[in-house]
Amino acid sequence: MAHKVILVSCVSGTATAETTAAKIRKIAAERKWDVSVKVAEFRKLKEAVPGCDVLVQIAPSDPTDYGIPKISGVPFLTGFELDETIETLDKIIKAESPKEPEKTD
Amino acid sequence: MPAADQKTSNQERYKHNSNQRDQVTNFLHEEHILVGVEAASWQEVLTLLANQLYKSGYVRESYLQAVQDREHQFPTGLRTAEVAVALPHTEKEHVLKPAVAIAILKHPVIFGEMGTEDQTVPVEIVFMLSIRDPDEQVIWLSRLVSTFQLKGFLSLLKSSPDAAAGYQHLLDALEFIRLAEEED
Repeated sequence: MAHKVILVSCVSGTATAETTAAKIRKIAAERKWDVSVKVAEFRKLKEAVPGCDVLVQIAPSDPTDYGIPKISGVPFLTGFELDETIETLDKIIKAESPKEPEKTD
Repeated sequence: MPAADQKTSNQERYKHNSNQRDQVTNFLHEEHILVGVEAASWQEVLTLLANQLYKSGYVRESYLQAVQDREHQFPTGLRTAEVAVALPHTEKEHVLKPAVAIAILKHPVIFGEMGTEDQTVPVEIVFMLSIRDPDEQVIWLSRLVSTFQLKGFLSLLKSSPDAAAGYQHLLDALEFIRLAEEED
């Protein structure tokens, strides 16, 4: 299992993202995930995404495709549907990193 | 574990406990817990809570407008398994000291749902956060959020007859979370 980087993002990258990141770090330790968890504010998300493997986004509503899997961070705050969210994240963490697609053109 | 090590560990644990307890009582105050709040709108709830924080010197005068603006743009209502909550907060320049002010509402009040543009949630308990340094406050913030996941806790908090009872329920729940963290 290769090392993965989880990026957590909220409006300001402070209260809710830091709180969510703390919860994810705890879950990561329990599950022995080989991950690091970073936090970014929404406005700087595009610059923060490169090098990250999964985006955990809390707010605002944002349909942008950042090219990496994206899941909602709200369950880490509420506990509502948290087990399902952890399983989704678990699958992403344990997936083999996709190889860089070879450019054909 | 040898007996001597066990003793040291208990002593450390005790020291650790009292530090953490101080930390909780630094941000959680009975005077910031409002029970049986009747409000017609989220704006009204935010005004009540922000005024409470302002009166006791935890936020600047600018906090009220800032927290209203932010809630309008980025709503903080959250569905939980039991009782929906909201976590209004705003930028640190409006904050003087870290705290949480809590309104237990008599009737649900509609808030926008966090992370959505048009969804709403009937909120029954509002936790207004004044945060200066998320790195320092992340421990109690994450414990506070963990209490939402304790079965029955939000329902119990909602039924608090007065601020003293609500305060005690919160202290107990935060202590329970802290102990659970130590078990890990």
